[in-house]
Amino acid sequence: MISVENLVFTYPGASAPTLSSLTFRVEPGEIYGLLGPSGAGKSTTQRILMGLLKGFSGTAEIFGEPVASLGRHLYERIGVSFELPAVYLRLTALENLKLFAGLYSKATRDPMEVLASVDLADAAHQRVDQFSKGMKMRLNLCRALLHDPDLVFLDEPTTGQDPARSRLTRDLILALKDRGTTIFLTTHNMAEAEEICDRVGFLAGGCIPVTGSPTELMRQFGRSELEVTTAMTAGLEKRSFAMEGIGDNAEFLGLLTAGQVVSMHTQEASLDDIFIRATGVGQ
Amino acid sequence: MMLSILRPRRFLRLLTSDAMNVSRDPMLLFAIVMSIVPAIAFAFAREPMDGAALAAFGLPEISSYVALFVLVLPAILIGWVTGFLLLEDRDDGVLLAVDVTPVGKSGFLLYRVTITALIGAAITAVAIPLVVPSIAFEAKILLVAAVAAESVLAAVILPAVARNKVEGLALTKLTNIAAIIPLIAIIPSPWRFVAGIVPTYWIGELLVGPIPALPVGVIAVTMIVTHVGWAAVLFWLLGQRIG
Repeated sequence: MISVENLVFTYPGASAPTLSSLTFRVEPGEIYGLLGPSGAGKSTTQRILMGLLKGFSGTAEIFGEPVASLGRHLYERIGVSFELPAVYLRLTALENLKLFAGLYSKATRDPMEVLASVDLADAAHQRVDQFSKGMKMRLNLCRALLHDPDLVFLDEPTTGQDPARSRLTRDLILALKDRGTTIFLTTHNMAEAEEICDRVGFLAGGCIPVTGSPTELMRQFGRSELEVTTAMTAGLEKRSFAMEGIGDNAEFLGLLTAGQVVSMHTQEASLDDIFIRATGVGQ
Repeated sequence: MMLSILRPRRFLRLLTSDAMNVSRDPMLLFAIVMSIVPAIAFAFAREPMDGAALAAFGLPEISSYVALFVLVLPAILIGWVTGFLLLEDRDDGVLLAVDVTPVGKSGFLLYRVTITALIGAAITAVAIPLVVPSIAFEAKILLVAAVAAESVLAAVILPAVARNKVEGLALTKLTNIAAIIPLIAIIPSPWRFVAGIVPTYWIGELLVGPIPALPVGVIAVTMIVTHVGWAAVLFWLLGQRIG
């Protein structure tokens, strides 16, 4: 669906390239998360893939074709939800969607159905300047999904949303994936990336030094240990056991049979840990 | 793809949205109303105005000078409304959202320029019989074309020069001066042509220039060169500003 090879891009006047030898692939129907610190080049990568930024070298292909060769027909097949709401504030949610629906040549979805999918049906006739930021972001998402695109670019899709609405948005993204839509996600929310992304790539220094599925990476960067919290007379106590041969570890088995175990956690790294190690931020 | 914006259904959809958008902002709505009202009021007030000016200051036919202002006003106001909408589109990210649709920024800009020129031309076509009914046919055509073009220039100058809405409002005060520039054409000195750098000046030259007036053909050519020159500069600046 997306194929990027040796992509190099330098902004005019900049001394160093923003992207240098960036290489990655996104398969059809996959949710791919591009993660990285601010200024790492996530937006630049997105803008190149959306055909909004020229002057790069290397290969950037979408739907098996170079981005530059797709022309404006590309936008019949991709949807974009920007980090900031990009809608008319004096129009209602429904009026906004009808306006944007009019800009596509192909048949679009029923705006009310799209609004309902993000729990905005009740606010369809409300002016957007009365919306909270979270509501505007959900409307932003509706705008990106109106024409039922094959590939959706989402930039911080749950910004400003309460946990329940964030959950709704994540469920919607997973539902899109189930329907075969490919999702290219950029976010700073590692828990979100861990929950919904099939694969993630950490962008640092203009390339992706670490990539893989969240589960695989968490295991790879973590310790192969089990942390056991037990209730002792002196209070709670934590002990770690190597995963290898744990079934034969007498001390561990003793704790289990004594009924003192309060909780057990495998010691995978979190995506936050991997982010810090991969990007060098905060070290 | 860009020209697809001019398909009637798509064009009307955008026009309807713009109409709703403008009608919900008192300032924009007032500007639209005020681009039409002066011409209607002028038709009724011409004779009393001339009589009062003659009696009070000994000035004959003051209405012919006021007419210039009344005719240029729609270009300034309609252009300002469009320019302000474009500034909002840019500041609120809507232009970016439009840029990732098949229509694109260029197509959307084409719609905005076209509708602005059409409204400017339509208001002028209605205003001419009310304000300057007796001018020659060629002058009427030139006048309609000039106001249409000036509406576009007034629209484009805001997003091309101003970095935000605050700067846009400050710039508006400067561009509003263009509404009185045509009056310079009544000065019987060749120095008046210095004002010809401002496109609206040529409406004054066309309607109230001193006798002997320049031939209409010369005014037409100069008008076209001035307007096209300004358009080239402003669209280039706009391209730099919005990409």
